[in-house]
Amino acid sequence: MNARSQTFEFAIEGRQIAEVISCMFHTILFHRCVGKYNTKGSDNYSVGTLGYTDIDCDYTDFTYIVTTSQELQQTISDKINQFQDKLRLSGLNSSGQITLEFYQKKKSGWMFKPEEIPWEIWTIKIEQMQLSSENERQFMREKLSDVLAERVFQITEIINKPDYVPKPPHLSELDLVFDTSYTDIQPYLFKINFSDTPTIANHVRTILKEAFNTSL
Amino acid sequence: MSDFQLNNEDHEALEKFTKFFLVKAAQIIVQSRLGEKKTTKSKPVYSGNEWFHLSIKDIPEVTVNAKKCLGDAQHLLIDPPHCPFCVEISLRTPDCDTITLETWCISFDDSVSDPSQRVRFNIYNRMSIVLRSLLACTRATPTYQLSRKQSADKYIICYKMYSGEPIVSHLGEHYSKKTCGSIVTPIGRFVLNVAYRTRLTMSSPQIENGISGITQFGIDIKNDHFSLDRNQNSAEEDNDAQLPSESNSSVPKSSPIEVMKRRHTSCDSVSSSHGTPDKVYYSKLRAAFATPGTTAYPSNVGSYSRANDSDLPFVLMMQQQENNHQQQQQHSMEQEHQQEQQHTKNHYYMSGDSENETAPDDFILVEVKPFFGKSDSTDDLALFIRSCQQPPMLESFIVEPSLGETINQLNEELRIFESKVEEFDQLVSTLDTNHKASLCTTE
Repeated sequence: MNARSQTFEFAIEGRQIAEVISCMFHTILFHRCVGKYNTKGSDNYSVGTLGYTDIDCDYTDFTYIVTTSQELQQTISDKINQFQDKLRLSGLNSSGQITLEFYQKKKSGWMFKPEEIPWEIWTIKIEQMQLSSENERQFMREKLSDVLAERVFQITEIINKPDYVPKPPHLSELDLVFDTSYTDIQPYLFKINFSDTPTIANHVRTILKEAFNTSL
Repeated sequence: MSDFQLNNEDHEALEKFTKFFLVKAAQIIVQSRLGEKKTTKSKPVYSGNEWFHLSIKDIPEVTVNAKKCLGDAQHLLIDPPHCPFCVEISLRTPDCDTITLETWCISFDDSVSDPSQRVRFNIYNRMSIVLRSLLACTRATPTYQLSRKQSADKYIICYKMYSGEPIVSHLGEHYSKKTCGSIVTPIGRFVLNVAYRTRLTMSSPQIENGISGITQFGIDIKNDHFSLDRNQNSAEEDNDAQLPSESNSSVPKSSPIEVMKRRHTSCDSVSSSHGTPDKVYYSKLRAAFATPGTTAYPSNVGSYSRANDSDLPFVLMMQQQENNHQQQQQHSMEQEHQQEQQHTKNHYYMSGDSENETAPDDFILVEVKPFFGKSDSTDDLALFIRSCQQPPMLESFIVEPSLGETINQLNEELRIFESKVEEFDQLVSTLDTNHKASLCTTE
C-alpha cells in the first residue's frame, strides 16, 4: 500500500519556524486523534472526549487549534524545537524539512518487530529567510497569516477526502493503530522526522535504515 | 437523486445526528466570533452528554435559536427540498450600520451518495471530523481576527441563522468561497461551505449624505462618529454589536503599514515627504530642544535629515554647552561677586537700607522660553530645559587618559572578562533555556 503524501513549503524567518510547523502539525493531529478508549469488558468500550485550545501565534497574526493534551503538546514542541534549533544553527539562509508520518504496525511473526507501514505523510519544507527592515518583517507577518489560513483550508480539504484511514482494530490490537501511551487522548500512531537539507543521499539513507529496522 | 432507502431505525438515527450536527456547527461558528480564546478539556472518560466525542460547551441561547430556526423550516435538511441551514456573521457599528462578513452554509445534496456508509459508525465519525474542520476553519477566515478586536465602542459581531439558500450578494464583489468538509451518507451528501468577504467596503446611504472617512476597523473612526444623525437599521434575530461604519472606502485587507504611515503624516505638522515614523519623530525631538537664533532651529524643520550629523541634538548641546560654560563661569563669578555684595547689602538691608533689590548691571540673564509652559524663568519646566541645555561636562572630556593608560585599562578589562568566561556561558545557556521554556508554555 502506498502512503499518500502532502508537502507544504514555507519561506519564513527563523523565529517563525516553530509556530508555522506547530500550526500545521496540530491542525492535522486534531483530525487524527480519537478520544481515549476505555475498555469495560472484552468487547465493550467507551470513547473519551477531545478538547481543543486556541493558540495565538506571536510572530504572525494567526490563531490555530490544538488538541487539549499537555503530553501531546510537549511531544510535538520538543521535536519542533529540535528541528528549529538545528536549522537556525545551520546558517542564516539554510533550509530543511520535517515530516509528520502516520503509520500502522503489522505483526510479522513472533520473533520480529512489527512492521511499520506509513499510510499518510505530511512534509513541511522550510526555507529560512533573512529580512533586513521592519517594513519587510511587517509585510511578511501579514503575508504569513494569509498563507497559514490557506494551508488550514487545504488540510481540511485533504482530510475530508474519502481516503484510507486505518479501521479501529479489535481492542486487543489497539496498539497497532493508535498510540495508547497518552492518558487523555488517543492519536493515530505517528512519528516526526526531520533533516536540515533534503538530499537524495539522505532520503536513500532513511529508506535503507527503515528497511533494516523493520526487517529485524 | 439516490434511490437507496434507509430503514426506519437508521433514518431516525440520521435525523437525530443531523439535528445535533447542525446545532453543534452553529455553536462552533458563533462561539468563534465572541472575541475570546477558547479552551475545553479532553476527558478520558465519556460523561454521556457530549456529542461527536468533542468537548463543545453549548451556549443556551444559540441552541435555542438554532432549534427554532430548524423547527421553523418545513422539512428536515435530509428530506426534500433539502433547505440549507445558514449562519450569517455580520459586523455592526455604534451607528447601527451593518456589514455582512461571512455566511456559513450546511447543505444536503442527494445526487452523491454511498450506500456502504453505516449511519451509526461511519457517519457519526465523519460528522466529528467535519466539526473539527469547522473548528480549524473558523479561525482561518479574516473575520476571526476582526472578532478578536471587537468592543462596544468600536464594533461588535452579530450572528443570524436562517434556512434557505445562502445569501452572498452582500459580501461584496470579491468574496471568497471555501469548503470545510463533506459527509457522504447512503442517501446524499452533507457539504459545509463558507463564503467570506475579502474587501471591507460599504456602499451605504452615508455616502450620499456626504459623510466620509477612512476607517480601518478598530483603528480609526469616521469623522461624524459622534453625530446624532444616524441611520437606524432594522435588527432581525441579531445578537448585538455596533461597529464604526465605513463609508465609501475600499480598505484593502492587508494595509496596517499604510494606515500607520497615514496616521503619522496626518498627525504631524511635518511635511508628508517624511513618510517613515522615525524621521518624523526625530524632527520633533530636535525641535523640542532647539532655541531660536541658533543653528539648531532652522525655519524649515521638515527638511531635516538624519544623515547630517552636525545637527545632532547632542552635538548641538555640546556647542551650546561651550557657549554656556563660558556664560556659566561668568555667571558663577558674578554670583560670587553678587553674594559678597549681597552680604554687604544685607548688612545694609538689616540696617534698613532698601536699595539692594536691583541686580548688578553686568549680570547676564539667559532667558528660557519653554514652548508650552510659563515664561517665568523660575518655573520648573524652564529650569529643567535649562539643565538639559547646560548639562555638566562628561568626565571623559575633562580627564583624557593617554594612549598607554587606555591600552592598559583595556588589557585589564579583557583579563577580567576572560577570567569570567564560564559565568558568561552560564548566563547564555540560562537565557536559551528560558527561551525554550517560554516557547513550550506558549504551545
